Amino acid sequence: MWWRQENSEASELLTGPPLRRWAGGALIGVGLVGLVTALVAILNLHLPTRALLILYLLAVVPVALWWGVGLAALVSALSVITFVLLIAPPQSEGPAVLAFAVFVATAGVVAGLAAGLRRSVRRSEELAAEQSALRRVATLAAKGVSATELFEAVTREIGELCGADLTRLGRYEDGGTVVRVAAWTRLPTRLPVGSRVPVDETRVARDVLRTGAPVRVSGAAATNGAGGPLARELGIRSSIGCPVVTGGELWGVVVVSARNPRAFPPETEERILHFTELLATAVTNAEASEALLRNADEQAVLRRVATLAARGGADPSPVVRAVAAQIGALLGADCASLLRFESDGTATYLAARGWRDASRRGPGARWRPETPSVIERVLRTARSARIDYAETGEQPPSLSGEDVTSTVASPIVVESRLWGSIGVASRTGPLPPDTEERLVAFTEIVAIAIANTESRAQLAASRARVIAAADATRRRLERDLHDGAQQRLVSLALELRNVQAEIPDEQPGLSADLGRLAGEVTAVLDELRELSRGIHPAILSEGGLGPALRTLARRSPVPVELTLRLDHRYADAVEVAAYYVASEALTNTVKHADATHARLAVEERDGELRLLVSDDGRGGAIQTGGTGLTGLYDRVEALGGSIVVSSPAGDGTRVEVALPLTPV
Amino acid sequence: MARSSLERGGLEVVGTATTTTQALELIGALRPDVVLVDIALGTESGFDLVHRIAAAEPFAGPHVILISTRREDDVAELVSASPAAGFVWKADLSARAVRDVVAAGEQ
Repeated sequence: MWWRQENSEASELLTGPPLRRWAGGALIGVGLVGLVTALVAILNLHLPTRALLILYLLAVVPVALWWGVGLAALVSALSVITFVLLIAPPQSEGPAVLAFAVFVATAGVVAGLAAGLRRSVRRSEELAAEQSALRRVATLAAKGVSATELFEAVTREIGELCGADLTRLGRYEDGGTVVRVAAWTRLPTRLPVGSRVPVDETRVARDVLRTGAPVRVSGAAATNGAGGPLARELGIRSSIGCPVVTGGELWGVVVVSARNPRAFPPETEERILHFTELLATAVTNAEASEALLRNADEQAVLRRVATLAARGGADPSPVVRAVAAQIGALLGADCASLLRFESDGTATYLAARGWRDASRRGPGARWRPETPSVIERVLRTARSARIDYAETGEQPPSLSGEDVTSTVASPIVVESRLWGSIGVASRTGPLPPDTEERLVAFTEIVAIAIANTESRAQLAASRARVIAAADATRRRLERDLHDGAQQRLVSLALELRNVQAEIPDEQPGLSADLGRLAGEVTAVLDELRELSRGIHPAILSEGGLGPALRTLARRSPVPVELTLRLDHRYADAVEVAAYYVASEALTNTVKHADATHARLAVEERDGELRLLVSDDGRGGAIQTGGTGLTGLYDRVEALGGSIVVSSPAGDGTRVEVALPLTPV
Repeated sequence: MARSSLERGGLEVVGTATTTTQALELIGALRPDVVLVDIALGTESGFDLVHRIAAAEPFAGPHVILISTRREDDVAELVSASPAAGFVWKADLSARAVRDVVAAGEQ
């Protein structure tokens, strides 16, 4: 197109520095005047001379088009003077002056039109560039790229569009700081993302925060203090800051800067605002979906931990390990530790993840929290603590070699006592500002889990104590009965038989009476024996589980196939529990199962005593159906064991019990 | 009482002991034909004593019979697992009961 000069010598003359541009224009103007003069000289032979003056417009108009009305006026003057001196007949000064006026007027109109046209072209080009930049950013946002990627794209697009040397995107934080989340520059310098400065130290960010509106700083003010040392170092002379407003709140600020004090035309703010609006929408969406995702993740992890806590018996360590394993990724941390505080001011590592020096953080490792460390602060204040080492610099010995830049810890408070702490650490910049809050949500769940497991443990222990006490009482009762009443009745029976043997044969009636009495005593003894057997099986204390179970199997009306792999005695509570399970299960088989055959197998395996009672009866036994199994659950669970009853209708009953042999 | 019952039946009671140690000494000194061992030997176990008697003289030892105030049914597993020749309930204790067990053991 005619107004669009490609890169060439001509465009140099059109767009170069003013002086050179001017000189070029003048040169071309003079050339054109020469050409027209030659043309006029040729045509002069055939046409009326005065009419030819109009041909000089051919020289004036192009100059007016490209170099403006000033140079065109000079060319007009040159044209008229050349015509008058070389071509025109005498006494043509009047028409020449008129022609000059016409030329200048024409030049003015043409130059004005051309400039307007050029302005609209430039504006439309800029708009097109802006629109396509906005479209690119919008596409990225719609694709759901990571916030970092989006922020980088926005700073780059704004920088290129505004002809800036440097663009930064900062996010305002609670506590009066602004953190750089993205930066772009065409200057050879490195701008670390994640650096954090107080708002008051950077004038543009501060003014934007104060006014909530775009701020422009240029000249010496831009260099001195506006962008701080960075602006000074880079020679920044002009900066504009525009707010990023999300959901009615000031989220952050975009700052464009340039070395050229007049780099930014007046409409720059407006153009940046188009981007910040888009950015704000994207940020709102991204934060909403991120919060949603994060929430979902957190919920999932918390659910897993809670499930573990509910399932795990007296041992909270699976819960602790799971939390340590999950929390790092969840909170965007590189390392995580879970510690229990001891009464002597030390802390015991329960679980640790992600640390380079894992040896000092093994489970059970003791450590005296150092100052300054977040764990020490939690221990001292029972509150969440944060230390960003990028700021304070000095690291405690426990963190040496870890390259940790930020640490956050929160207390685990179990039933209003400070129980321990969860700490996380990052090697890449500061942990997000909401880390404490999210960590607290976690420590609370862990605390509940620990409280649960502690109370479960206490409950199991007290249940075990109650059962053990009851067992001891029954054993004593049985012994008292045996050593007292039974013993004396046995003596009585023996004595009666002795007396009977002394009686002379001529008194058969007396002898028969004594025999009957002895028989009575034996019958009472039998009744007493049944009674005491129900209280406590003597053979269990006398001979242990093996003989006791053999006796049980032998006495059962339903044939029992017995498999025993036991080679020594076990703790009273274990033997009694196993005996009662077998006894109760066999009783049920006899009473309810209508079985022809039962099986009893006991063995010691993997630190557990395993017992299996099964029959080929009708099945359908229910725990709560008054079948007597309920009491066994208590007994088995009090020992930290497990009991599984399966009794499908028509397919027999199967009771499986595992009792840990190490005391809980 | 038990002694009188036994002696009336023609058995001579050559000695009585109340502890494992004493019992082993007496058995060594008196060489009885039959030893009656109460399962409940105070704080000691009659089964232990039976094992020690059997271990002392595996081939030429006395006949050992376990006795108890408990019924045979309650201790049968332990009796059969021990080297004892048999069991007699104390209320049934008589010379004939002892002879029956010894006779059964010799068959």
